[in-house]
Amino acid sequence: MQSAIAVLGAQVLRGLAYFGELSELHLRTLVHLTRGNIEYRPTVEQMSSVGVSSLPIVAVTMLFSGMVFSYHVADQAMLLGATGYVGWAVAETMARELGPALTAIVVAARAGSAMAAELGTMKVTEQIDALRTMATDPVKYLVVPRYIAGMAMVPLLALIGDVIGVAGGFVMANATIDMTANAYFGSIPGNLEIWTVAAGVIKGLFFGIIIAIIGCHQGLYTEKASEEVGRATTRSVVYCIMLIYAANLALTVLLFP
Amino acid sequence: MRDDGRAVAEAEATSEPAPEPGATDADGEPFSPQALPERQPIDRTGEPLLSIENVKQVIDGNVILKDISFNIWPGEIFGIMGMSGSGKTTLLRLLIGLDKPDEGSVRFKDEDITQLDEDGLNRVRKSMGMCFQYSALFDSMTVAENVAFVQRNRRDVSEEEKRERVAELLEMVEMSGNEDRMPADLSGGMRKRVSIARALMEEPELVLYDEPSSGLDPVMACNITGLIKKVSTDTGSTAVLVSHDVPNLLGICDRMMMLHNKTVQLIGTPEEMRESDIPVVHRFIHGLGTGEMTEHCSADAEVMDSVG
Repeated sequence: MQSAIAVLGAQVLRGLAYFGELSELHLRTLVHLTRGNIEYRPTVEQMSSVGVSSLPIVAVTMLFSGMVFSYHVADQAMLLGATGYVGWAVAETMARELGPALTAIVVAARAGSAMAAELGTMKVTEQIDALRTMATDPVKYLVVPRYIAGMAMVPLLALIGDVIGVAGGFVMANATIDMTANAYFGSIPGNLEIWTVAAGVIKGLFFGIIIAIIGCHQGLYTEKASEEVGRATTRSVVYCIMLIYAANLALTVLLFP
Repeated sequence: MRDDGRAVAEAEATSEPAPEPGATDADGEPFSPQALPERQPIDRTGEPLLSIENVKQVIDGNVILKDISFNIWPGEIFGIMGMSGSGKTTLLRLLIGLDKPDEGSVRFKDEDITQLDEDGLNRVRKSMGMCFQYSALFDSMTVAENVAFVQRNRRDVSEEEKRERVAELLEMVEMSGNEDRMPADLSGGMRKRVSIARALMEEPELVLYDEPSSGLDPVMACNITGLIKKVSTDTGSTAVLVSHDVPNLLGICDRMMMLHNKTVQLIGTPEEMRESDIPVVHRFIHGLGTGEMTEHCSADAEVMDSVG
């Protein structure tokens, strides 16, 4: 019994220490941002890596998600005689939940893991120490560009994902219940509120921050052993997914009271 | 043992093993033996550039270093040797502020860097350069970008001046023509050379070298240590080398320090090291093992004695 409590206590302490490290890294990143300490070249490179390079996989994911969702909705709408709302239902769901959440998961798997692997490798090969010996703060040079890239590109990808998902939904609605473009897209403008889209973008912004901070933290705190880079990469994806879903719940309650 | 700072005669030793005529180096380049530059005597009457006082370092509950005290004067080539795990690299990291000691002070130009925050350390590090054991080149950048990295945000230096400085440094380390190659395409010796060029970009007063000859064949190891001596002599910079490579250290250092049992065993010139009768120093310098199965080492020691 005592040992079980000790194990539980140790886990709690480890968890608290982890969130403490995340908070410290986030704070140091914000300090650099507020001071305007931004390295422009790596920032542009990271925006390309997080944004442009993730676009194909985000597009594919959202296209098929939109198609599957539309397939179910169209089926139910036929039963209820509400086929006029299929387009709006798909768009509303994409903008509120599927767009930001699925985009964030995909970016976490692709770009968040790359952040952890790249920084972890730099740590193991002493490149992070080399940065410090050259009077360069690794947080400024490595974390701030990834933070900006995550914060800017995940909402943008979510918006693009929304559009692709809705388009995919139309393809499916057209194929299954022979819905016309006018009927499908015509139901969106009057029903989908701007706030719903904006809330999805806000969610994407927070998810981007989570991906960047967790990915960078896992990389910077990698132990100096090659196999640790693999573990840090896996952990970054797992922690990102868990935190994204937890944050999604909190943000949904806050943004849609 | 404390370093009392007494002046010592310059200790020039010429112990580098001369390569065979027609030999090539690790990169397949013809080896052209060149005389190492003559070094001027080191003036040890003034203020030391680096002063270490009673340093103690504990990692994960284990004492790694204790009672470490020594001085290094401007222009000096100072070697730190010791067995694997003796704390050489730990000590080097303390000298540039990558880690902070648990006790004691590390004074660079009379400023205690153990009391500085990261911004203060960054200010001090602008006068320092460091070459890592595995070079630590940024693998996403070309050779030229690696060398110029430290000046990437300097507005007071034009792009043309930066390019010229990079070209000058790459020529100094005999790496001209490799500006656009990636680190992954370079051999170990070439990487070491690039890392030396990178460390010299801002004309530092102090350059730290962590195992500069590890992982290299004897010819390339000799070339690299010769390059370190040339760089230090040409630029007047101070060099601190950490290495097990006794013959090469004996050949280029003005003074050396032996670390063992967590503390300093001896500080002296290469001659004093060779002639030391402290058992651990004698064994280390002459390559003698300990225990029953080390008879073969005495033959090596004779060869080493005849070379150095």
